[in-house]
Amino acid sequence: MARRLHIPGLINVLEVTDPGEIRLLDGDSRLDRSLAPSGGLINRSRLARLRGAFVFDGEPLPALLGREAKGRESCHAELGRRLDEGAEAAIWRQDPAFKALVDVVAGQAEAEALGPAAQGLLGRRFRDDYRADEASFAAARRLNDYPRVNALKALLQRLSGQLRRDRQLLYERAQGDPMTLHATSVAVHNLVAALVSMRILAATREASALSQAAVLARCLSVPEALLRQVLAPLSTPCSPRRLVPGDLVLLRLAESVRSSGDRELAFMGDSWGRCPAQRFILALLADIWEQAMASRSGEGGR
Amino acid sequence: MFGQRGSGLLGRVFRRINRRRQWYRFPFPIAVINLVALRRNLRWHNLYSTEREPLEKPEREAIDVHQFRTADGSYNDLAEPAMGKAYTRFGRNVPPAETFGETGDRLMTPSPRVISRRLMTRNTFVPATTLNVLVPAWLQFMVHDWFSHGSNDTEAERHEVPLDEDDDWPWESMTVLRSRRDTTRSSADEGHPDTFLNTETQWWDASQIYGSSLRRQRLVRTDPDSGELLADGKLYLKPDGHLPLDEHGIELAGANGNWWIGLSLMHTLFAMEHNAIVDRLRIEHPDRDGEWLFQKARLVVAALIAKIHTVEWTPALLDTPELRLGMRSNWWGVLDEHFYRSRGRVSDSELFSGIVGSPVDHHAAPYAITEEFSAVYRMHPLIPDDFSFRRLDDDGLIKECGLTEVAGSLTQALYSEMSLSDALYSLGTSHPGALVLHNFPSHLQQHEKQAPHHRTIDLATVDVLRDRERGVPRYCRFRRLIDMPAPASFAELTDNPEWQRELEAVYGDVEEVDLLIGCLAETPPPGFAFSDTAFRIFILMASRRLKSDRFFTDDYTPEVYTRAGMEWIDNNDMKSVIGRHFPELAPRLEGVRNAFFPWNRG
Repeated sequence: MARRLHIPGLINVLEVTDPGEIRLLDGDSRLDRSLAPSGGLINRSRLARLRGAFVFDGEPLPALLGREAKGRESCHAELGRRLDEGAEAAIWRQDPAFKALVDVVAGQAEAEALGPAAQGLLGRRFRDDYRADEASFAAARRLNDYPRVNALKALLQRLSGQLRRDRQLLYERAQGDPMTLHATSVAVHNLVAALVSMRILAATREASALSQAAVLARCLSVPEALLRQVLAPLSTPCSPRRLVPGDLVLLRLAESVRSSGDRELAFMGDSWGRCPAQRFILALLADIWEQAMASRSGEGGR
Repeated sequence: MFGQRGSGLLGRVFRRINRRRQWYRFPFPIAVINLVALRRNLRWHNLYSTEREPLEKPEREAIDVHQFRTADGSYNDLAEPAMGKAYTRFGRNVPPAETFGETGDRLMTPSPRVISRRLMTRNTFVPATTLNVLVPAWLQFMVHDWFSHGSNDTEAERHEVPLDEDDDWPWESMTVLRSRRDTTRSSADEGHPDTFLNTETQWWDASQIYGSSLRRQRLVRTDPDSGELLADGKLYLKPDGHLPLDEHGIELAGANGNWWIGLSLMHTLFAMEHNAIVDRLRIEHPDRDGEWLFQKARLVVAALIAKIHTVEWTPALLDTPELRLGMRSNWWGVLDEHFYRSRGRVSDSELFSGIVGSPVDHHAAPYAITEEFSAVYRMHPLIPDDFSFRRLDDDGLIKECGLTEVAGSLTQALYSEMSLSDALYSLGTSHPGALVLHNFPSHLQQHEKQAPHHRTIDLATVDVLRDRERGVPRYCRFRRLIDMPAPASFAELTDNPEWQRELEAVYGDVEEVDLLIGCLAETPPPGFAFSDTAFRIFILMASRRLKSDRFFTDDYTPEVYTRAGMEWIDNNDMKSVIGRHFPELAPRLEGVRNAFFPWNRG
C-alpha cells in the first residue's frame, strides 16, 4: 500500500513505490501529466516550480506532456525510431565526447569532464552543432534541481535572475528545440549518474569479471520520481482513500527499481509514457563500459 | 499488503547515529531502542523478492487451510497461497542488482580451496566453552526446517577449484558440482541475476520433521512393516523408541540429509514430543480422528520449536542483557512472560505483547528465506571433530570417535552401544567449536557425502564457493548494503594480528574478503558467539519467520491451536521436553539456565 500525505488545503500526495502499483496507476487515464495549478498550497507550489523550470514558449518539455497532448505520440515514436537507429549504428562512436566519457569511466580522466561531455554527446543527437561546456552543464544541473531545492533557495534563484539566465542559456544552446532541451537539461543527469557509478565500479577488482547485465543493473540511474496529477475521482487499491482531482501522485521510480531490479520499469518500458531512449542509453552505457574495460586492461598490460 | 511505511523517525535517527557508534556500545536502554530501530530499518530496506511474475495458485490439499498447515507450505498467506511453499525462490537481503553470481576468474579468486586451507583449517579445536553440542544439533535441525537448495546439478560442467602446489588433496584436481538452476525462470527473468529454489517449505513449520510434501509426510506417519498410515495421528517410532530407517540405512525424517548423531537426537526427541502432544489432545478431544490430532499436534510442535529457538537457543548464543530481553520480547513482548500468563495480550503491538499473536505483516516483500540468510548461517565450525560418549549413570567412557563415525548411516549403529539418554547426556556436556577462523572441522574438509551421493568434498571450499556462485556480496560490500560500516583495512576487520597477516596474504585487499571469512574473522560484540554482521540478518529474519506466518500471528489462537495446545506451548521449554521423554536426564539439567548451556557432569 502506498503512503498518503494529506493535510486539507495544504498538501495531498500519494507516494507509490511498489512496481505493480506504479504500473497500475500509470495505466489509469484518470491520472496524467499535468502542470495546471490545482490542489492544496504545497501541491500548487510544486506544480508552479515545475512550470517555472520546464515550460518553454508556453509548452512543457516533452516528458511532461499529457498522454493526449497533440503530436506527443507521433513525436515520441519518431524520436524512438531515430534513437534506435542511432543505437544500431553505435552513432556515438563518431562523437568527440565519446572518448572523454570512456576515459572518465576508465579512471583516466577527471570526473569533472563527465557532465559537459555527456551533455554534448546527447545534444548532438538532435543538433549537429550543439555545444556543451561547464557553464551549460552547471545551468542544466541547477534547472533540474530547481523543483526540489528548498523554498528559500528557489526564491533566491528566481529573484537573482539565475533561473532565467540558466533557462536562457540552455534554450539558446538547444536552439529552442524541446527534444534537445529535454535531453540536455533533464535526461543528461541520469546518464551522468550512471557513468559516475560505472567509474566507481570500474576501479574495483571485480569489475572485469562482471557481466554486462550486472554492470547495467548496478549502475543504471533512474529518475527519482514521476509526477502525475489526478484529473478525475478515482478509487484504487493502492490508496487508502479515494483520490480526487488535484491530488498529486508520485511514482517513486528509483526506489521501486532498486528494490525490484526491474529494468523495464526503469524506462517505463510498457507504459504510454515510456522513455524512447531506452535502447539507445543501454547500448551507449554498454559500449562505454566495454571500451573503458578494454582501456583499463590495456593500461594494466603496459 | 506490503505497506510502504518506511523505517520511521526512530530508524532514521539511529541510522545516523550508528555511522559513528554501534548499538552494543550504548548503555542497556539505548542499546535496546537501537535494536528496535535496526530491525525496523532492515525490514524496510533489506527485503527483496526475486519472483518476477505472480506465482500460480497451488492445488489445495484435502485439509482445512484455515485450521492446519499444509504439507508443502502453501496457503499460509491466503491472499498469496504460493508464498513460502516448497520449491519457490529464495529472496534476498540486498538489492537484486547486487546479486549477480561471480563468474570466470573472479569466482576462483582467491581460490576457495586456498581459503579453506590457509584460513579455516582447524589445527587445534577452539571450543565455545559456554555452550554445549546441542547448539549445532539444534541449528541444523532448524536449518533443515527453513531451507535447502536441493541436490546439486550433476549434469552441468563442474567448477574446477585451483589447488596450491603443496595441497594435500588426494586427487589431482578438485571439482565441485554447480548449484541446481531454477527451473521456473521465464522470459521475465532475462537480464536478472540467477535465482535458486528453496526445496523445503520456507515457513517455520517443523517441515524437517514432517517433510515438505504430502508424500513425505505420509512416509513418516507410516508403519514400514505394514505400510499403513498410523490411524492415531502419531509419527512412527520403532518399539525401542528409535526412528525407522530409510532405504539408505539412515533414520527416516521429514528431511534427513547430512545426518549425524545431533540431528538423530533432535528428530527422535521431537517425534516423541509429537506423539505426547497427540496423547494430550486426545484426552481433550476424544471424538476427533487421527488426522485432526496429527495436524493439531504439528501446529503445537512447530510453535514449541519456534519458542525454544527464540527464548532459549538464541539467547544462549547471544548472551547479553539486550538480547535476552530482545528475544523474550519477540515472543512475549517487553511486558514479558509473567504478564502474558496473567493477562494475555494487551494490544496488537509486537513491542508490548510480542510478535506471536500480533497481526501478520510481510513488510517490504513477500515472505521467503533469503540467500543471504543461508549464507550467514554457515556455521560449521560449531561442529567438533571428536566425540566422547559417556554413560549418564557414572560419566564413564563408552566410546571416543570422530565425526565420520557418528554421521550418515553409521549414526544408528551407535545406539547398539549406548542409549538415547547417554547420547543426549554426552552432547549436553560437550562443547561445540567457536565460530572463528581456523576452527573448521577437519572431517568436513575431506568429507565423504552420505548415500546416495558418494562424493568427497571439502565443505569449507564449498561454503566459500556457494556464496560467490549465488551472488552473495563479499564482506565489505555486504556490510555497506545492510547499512554497516565496512573495514578499511585488515586491522579494522580483526584485532588478531596473526589473522590480519594471514588474511592479507590470501586476499591482498580487504574488499575482497568473502562474507563467511569476514564473519569468522570479525571481533563479535561482547557475549556474542557470532559476528555482528551475521546478527543483522539474524535480527531481521528471526522476527520475520514469526511475523509473516499466519499461524504465529493472526491465527495464533486457541480456536486454531486448541486450548490444550496453547497451554502446551506456554508451559514447555527444551528442558521440560527432554525431561518428559528422558526423566533420568532431569538432574543433569538442574540449575542450568537453559538446555543449550553445558549440563552438569558427574
